[in-house]
Amino acid sequence: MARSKTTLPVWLRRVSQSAFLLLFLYFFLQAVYHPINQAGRGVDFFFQLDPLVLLTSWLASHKIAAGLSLSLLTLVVTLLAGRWFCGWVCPFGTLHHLISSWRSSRVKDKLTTGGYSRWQKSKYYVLFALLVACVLGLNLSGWFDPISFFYRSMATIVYPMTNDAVKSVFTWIYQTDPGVGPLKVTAVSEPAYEVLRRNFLAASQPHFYGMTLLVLFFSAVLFLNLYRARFWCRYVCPLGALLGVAGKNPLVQIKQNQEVCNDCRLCVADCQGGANPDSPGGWKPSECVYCWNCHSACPHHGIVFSVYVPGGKK
Amino acid sequence: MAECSRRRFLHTCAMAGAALKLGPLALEAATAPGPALSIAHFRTSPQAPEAIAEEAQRLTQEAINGLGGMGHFINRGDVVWIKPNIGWNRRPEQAATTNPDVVAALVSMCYAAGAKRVIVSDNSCNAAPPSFAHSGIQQAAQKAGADCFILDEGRFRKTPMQGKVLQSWEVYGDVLGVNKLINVPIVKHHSLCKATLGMKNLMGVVGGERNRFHQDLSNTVVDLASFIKPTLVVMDAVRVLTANGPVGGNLADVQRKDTVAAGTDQVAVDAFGATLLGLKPQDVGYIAEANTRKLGTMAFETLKPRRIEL
Repeated sequence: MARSKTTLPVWLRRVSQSAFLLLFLYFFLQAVYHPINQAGRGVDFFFQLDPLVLLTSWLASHKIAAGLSLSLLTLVVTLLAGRWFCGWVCPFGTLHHLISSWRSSRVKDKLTTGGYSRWQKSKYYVLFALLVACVLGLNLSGWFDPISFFYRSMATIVYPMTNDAVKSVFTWIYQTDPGVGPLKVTAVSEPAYEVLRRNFLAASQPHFYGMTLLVLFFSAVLFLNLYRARFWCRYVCPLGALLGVAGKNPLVQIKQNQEVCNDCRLCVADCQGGANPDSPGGWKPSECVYCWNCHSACPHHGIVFSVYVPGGKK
Repeated sequence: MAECSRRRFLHTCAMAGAALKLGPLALEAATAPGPALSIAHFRTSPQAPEAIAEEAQRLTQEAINGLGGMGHFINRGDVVWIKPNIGWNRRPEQAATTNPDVVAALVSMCYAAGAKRVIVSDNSCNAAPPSFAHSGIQQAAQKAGADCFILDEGRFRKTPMQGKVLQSWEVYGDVLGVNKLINVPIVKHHSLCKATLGMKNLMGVVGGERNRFHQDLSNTVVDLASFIKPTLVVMDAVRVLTANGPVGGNLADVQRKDTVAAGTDQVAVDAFGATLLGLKPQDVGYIAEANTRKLGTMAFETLKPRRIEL
């Protein structure tokens, strides 16, 4: 087992992922029906950043939503620098990354679960099928766009279940009022519950019907991260595919020092995108999510990412 | 009186509630030296919204002053539950919920009298978030510094009431630590019992299957009022709902009465409210029943109410 030193770019990436995931959850909680204060809370920020949402809604409705122009920024950044959105911003990607870190940590297993696979091409077919369906009037981005699918799963499955569980536990404590003599559990649980109720819980228990398929799909997608790292991001995500196409010739590229490389393949074991960081000339920019794990994993400091000016030394 | 021992006192009261006919909101009796009923009335009926707001505030203040001031009811450190009617998803002009400016004025007066915490809430019949918002009470209460929040449906505890028909019912728990309750109803027509006033407004303090109360409102409402016995009743009659109550909706059913009444005898206040709708107190089932049970008197004129004309 190689020593793992976590380099600065990896720490920065983790901070960024955490911040955007927390921001996503914050906006999610903010988007409650509030008769008094509706407008201008920016709760659709992540949808605004998402170029696939812009593209699919345009194809399906033949109208361009003006509010979605922020997503062009995402496209431009990807065109110039690659799929940094996937590695540093996307909250769904962060969730997959988290669950992937629970897979077997033996290097041999990681080479299987983490290495590049031809099947990663499947997300381009998903993208194609999604766009064709949109042109024909069937917008399935609610199931395949990562922001939409994540939001929908949170709103219809995770949040109602969590809300119900939390309320049930605290209400049970309140109604049964356990304690030893004058020391009651409610002295602690009630103030804690008030904080939760005012900031996180729903005013009335949300309940949705017909969620079985969504539950199965969402659970499957999450569990498959144990089988292959970042399963959704590599094999399914049409946004990843779109950004992969946009990021085919980025200005920020991997630089492998062949003189120090001994083919230990530790960079591959930790690679999130499945981009062949060990292969000279074989690095796949459209699979790379710029997580910098390869930079951190290499015991010989053999990998770095730098800006390449077209026409300059490669 | 230390917070701790007051809690224990309330808890003991809840347990021994039957014999003493006290409730978990064991309201310490007010010692109002003045009249038991005061009625403030505005001679004019302004139409501009700001003028109506000011009218409501002044009427509330004068009605309370007529009883000797809020200081006679609220002491330093009190935790007060101001219980308006926030039952319905209606706007103030539709007179289905209590006037928000009446509520705000009461909040300010409680704080001025030294209250530690003022809670404004109700167990709404319609969905709570829009009811709280559209009635205007949420904003007005919060602006005046009150703690206005939606009640939690899991916090109603079955409480013995030993009433004539209600042995026990789910009452909102003593978790609030409340020791004073100010009932702030609005005068409305009611399709089942002719009028809904103060005693019926107390239905917002209970949960469970409240709809069953309607099988025998004359007795259930009086059982409830006997159990809770608010510190004070402030009756909003700035606008009254004259028909199609208690839900209302049609502005044509709303009439301006430009009155706010305040009193410690909940039967007398309700009796006065009934007259504003053109009813005789004895014609309203629960007023007659409450009078019979000597919970108060429906002959409110005998209390020599202080009338204030503005």
